[in-house]
Amino acid sequence: MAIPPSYSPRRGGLFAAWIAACLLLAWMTGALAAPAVTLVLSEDAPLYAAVARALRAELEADRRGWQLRVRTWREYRSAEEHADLVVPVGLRALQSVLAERDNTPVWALLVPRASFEQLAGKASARGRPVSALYLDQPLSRHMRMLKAALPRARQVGVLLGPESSVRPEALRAAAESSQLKIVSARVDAIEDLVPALTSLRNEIDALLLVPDPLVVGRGGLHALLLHTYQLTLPVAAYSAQLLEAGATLALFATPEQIGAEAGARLREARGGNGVVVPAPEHPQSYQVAVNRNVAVSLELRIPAGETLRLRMERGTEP
Amino acid sequence: MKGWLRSSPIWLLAVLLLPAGRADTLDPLSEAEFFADQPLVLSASRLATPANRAPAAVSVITREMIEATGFRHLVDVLRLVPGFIVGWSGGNTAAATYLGLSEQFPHRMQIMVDGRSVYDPSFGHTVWRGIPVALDEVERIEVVRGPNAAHDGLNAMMGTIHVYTRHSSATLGGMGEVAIGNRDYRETNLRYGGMTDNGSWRLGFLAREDEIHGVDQDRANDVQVNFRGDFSASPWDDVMLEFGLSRGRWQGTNIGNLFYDDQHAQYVNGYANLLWKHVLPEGREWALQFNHTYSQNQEAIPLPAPIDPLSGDYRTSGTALELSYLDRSSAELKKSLSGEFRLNRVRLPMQLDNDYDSDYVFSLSGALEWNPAAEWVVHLGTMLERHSDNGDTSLSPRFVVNWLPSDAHAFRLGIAHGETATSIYVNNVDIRLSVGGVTVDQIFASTEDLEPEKINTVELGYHFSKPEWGLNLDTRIFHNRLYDVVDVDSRRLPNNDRYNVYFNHPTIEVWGLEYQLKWRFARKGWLWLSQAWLSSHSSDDIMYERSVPGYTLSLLASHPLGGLDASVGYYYTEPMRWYAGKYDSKYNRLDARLAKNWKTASGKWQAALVLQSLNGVEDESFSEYLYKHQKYQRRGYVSLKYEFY
Repeated sequence: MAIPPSYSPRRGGLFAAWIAACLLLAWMTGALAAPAVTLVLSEDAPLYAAVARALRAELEADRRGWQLRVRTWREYRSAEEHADLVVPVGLRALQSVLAERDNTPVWALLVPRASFEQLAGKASARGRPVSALYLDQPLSRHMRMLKAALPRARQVGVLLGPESSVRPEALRAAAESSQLKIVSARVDAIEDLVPALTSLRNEIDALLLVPDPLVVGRGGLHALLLHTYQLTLPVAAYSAQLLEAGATLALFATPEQIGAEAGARLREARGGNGVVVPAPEHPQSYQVAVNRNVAVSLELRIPAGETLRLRMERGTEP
Repeated sequence: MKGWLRSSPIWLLAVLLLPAGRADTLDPLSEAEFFADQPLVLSASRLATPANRAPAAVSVITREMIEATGFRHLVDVLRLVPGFIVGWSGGNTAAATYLGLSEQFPHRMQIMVDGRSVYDPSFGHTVWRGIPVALDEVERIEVVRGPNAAHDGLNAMMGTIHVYTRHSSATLGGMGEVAIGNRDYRETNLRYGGMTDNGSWRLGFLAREDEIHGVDQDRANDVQVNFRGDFSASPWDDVMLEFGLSRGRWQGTNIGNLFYDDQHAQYVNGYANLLWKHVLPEGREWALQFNHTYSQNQEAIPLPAPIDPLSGDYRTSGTALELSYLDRSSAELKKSLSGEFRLNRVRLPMQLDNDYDSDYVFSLSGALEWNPAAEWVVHLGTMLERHSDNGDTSLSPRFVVNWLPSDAHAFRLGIAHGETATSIYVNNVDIRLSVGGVTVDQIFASTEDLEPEKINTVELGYHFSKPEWGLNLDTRIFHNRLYDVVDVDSRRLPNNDRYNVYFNHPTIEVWGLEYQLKWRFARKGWLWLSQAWLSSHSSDDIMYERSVPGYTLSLLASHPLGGLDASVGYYYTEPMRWYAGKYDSKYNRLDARLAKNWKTASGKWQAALVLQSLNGVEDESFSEYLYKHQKYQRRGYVSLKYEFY
């Protein structure tokens, strides 16, 4: 085989090495520039997987590139893997991440606001940036939903346990913005639920459930939903599961919505080679759903969830 | 012993009743509160069809109304229902009948407590006083007015009374109540409820003594205990377990024949009821219910020598197993299917030709609710039922169309056919007087082949609802044609002596217009008004026409009054005459109740004063074999109730 005079095997090898080095450098530069995010799941369960999947899809659509690792809280060791941001998904993961001696910024998902505030205080005091995209919807949005669904409602009842997730003054302020008035009753034990509801019945037009381990715990839910139904009292809830159990309507975000919104917020928060931890906020995304069987049985004419959502967004509550 | 303990249901019960542990401090809320599967509390069978879409007229008496009446007996609450007449024969036997047409043992309505029939198959009636349920435990009473055999079987010929007790989770903690009044009225009512890891339970006790009419032979004592437990085996499986026992000692008679002044009856009733509901996705569920009811009446009847003494003793038992399926997965077409097997056993030594008589009942029912458009609902239902006692197979269909031209207005047009099973007593009666075991007088015999009584109904209903006015109106105009009605005739024996038989004969027509109105005129103020105008015709016997009152009225109103809960009830019927009665019965009665509620650190208190029959008397007169003329005279009681958690 004839070899062109200009070609030298030594020069060819150098050229190839140079190309490879450039490629490696380019790869390394890109890789180093892509923020590293570690998702720490509370469990290897469909709920958390759905959040991770939606978040990953959102980040993969970003041409700037992200390094995304997914671990369960048992697998996660902060010292072993560098990350620009740790995203615990769920309460157990958040507890585990905050227990580590580390200063990597934390942005929690699927954690109710009250629990987040309870846990984040100590970490923040140590100087660790800690934030969250809350799991619960803002109270003002719940009030707008009630107004959109039950335009004649004036007074809304709330049962508050000793460790309720919301403060009465926050409820009152949110209600006022929708021309509603909150009538709250204190519940210290499950046995108080039915008497408290009975005493509220003639004062209120609907009952708003707020996350509360006592009021909406498994033990009290039967009494709560049966008694409100017998009192022909519509119940607004904060989860799809409570809606299915017998609430009249509900406002909530699905795991997919939370994952997608978290991904979109991360993209927005990216600055240069790093990521700025988003401020603690309630989710923008939500669904409104109506338990048609319960509404019909209570002789309530409540429009479909999508119609309610449109009314809420346009501010056209009748 | 150990083996017995382990295999005994008591062991299971003890495990179920273990108190749930309570954490001293509550953990932070987790996402599980938002996403964990929850028990399907308001499953399809728990949701009532709204009145404007229902296939029949329904009166719903709520707990709030029950409290406001001040009544202490379950049966009295039925006075609120349009067209209902409630009376007490001898003070211990209550009779409640819709549209009259009855003796002291009304038999054309099905009565169910938490889905368990309390209809006594012996005489075909309900011993109201013997039902071991305290009024305090009742959540609501739904009265279906008009034939409901398509849903609840043969005995629901004129309608059904569904009594629903409070879910045990609604009565947690303890309650003690004492009530005392004039005319020897005393009552003690105790209840305690608790929680377990997977449910809740309640135990109730009631002891009562009263004299309904205040005459010498009218004293009655009752003692009742009952239990209800509600447990969730999983988010999709609910189990309800109930049992109870009542014991009554009642002066007078419980069999309708008073032979001497000191006659009295001792009555025992016990039951067990198990309901298992399994919820499937999308509004479908099936339920399995098993129950057993036992009752026993002891009533000695010494007759003048040389006639052998008679016995008013009887025992009945009913065992039922029902499997039902409900499908509300489609908004356009809702379906339900139910099959039941029931065994009724009766021992009426004085009155039947055999020691024990049994009736095997098989029934199959189905219902469709079709919503072809938003403003139309079509109901089609039927029940096929077979009784072994008389060998009859009956079909009870119902066809109803609801038209809802607007949110406020709804019209209902329905036709229905219903039948009622003749009681074991009527089918097998054999009463004779004997001397030394030799018959000297045949009083009753069952020589006729009896058909079930039947009814055809046409009705037009109108429902008006205006939530912003707090107004709900339900009216109904109807025509009932009852035929093959069981009547008494006499026949002649070969020796020319006469004896009585039951036979099918009369045809009775009843026209009626009735309405009920519930108006919540203030947040804490409401009014219930019901009226019925009735007219009857029978070419066979004036007795039937007389037994239907021309008019009934019920009014109940409640409103706070200076820190007290105040309510008044007014109940009126035009004179009517119970079958075989020699005098008219009627009531024109005004009741009032004042109650004060207050809380202390340890619990909740209620003191109440109830005054009954303030404006006069209630006249009650049943057959000539009972007291001639009885009056429910002016009376009052005070009660003190304490609830703690």
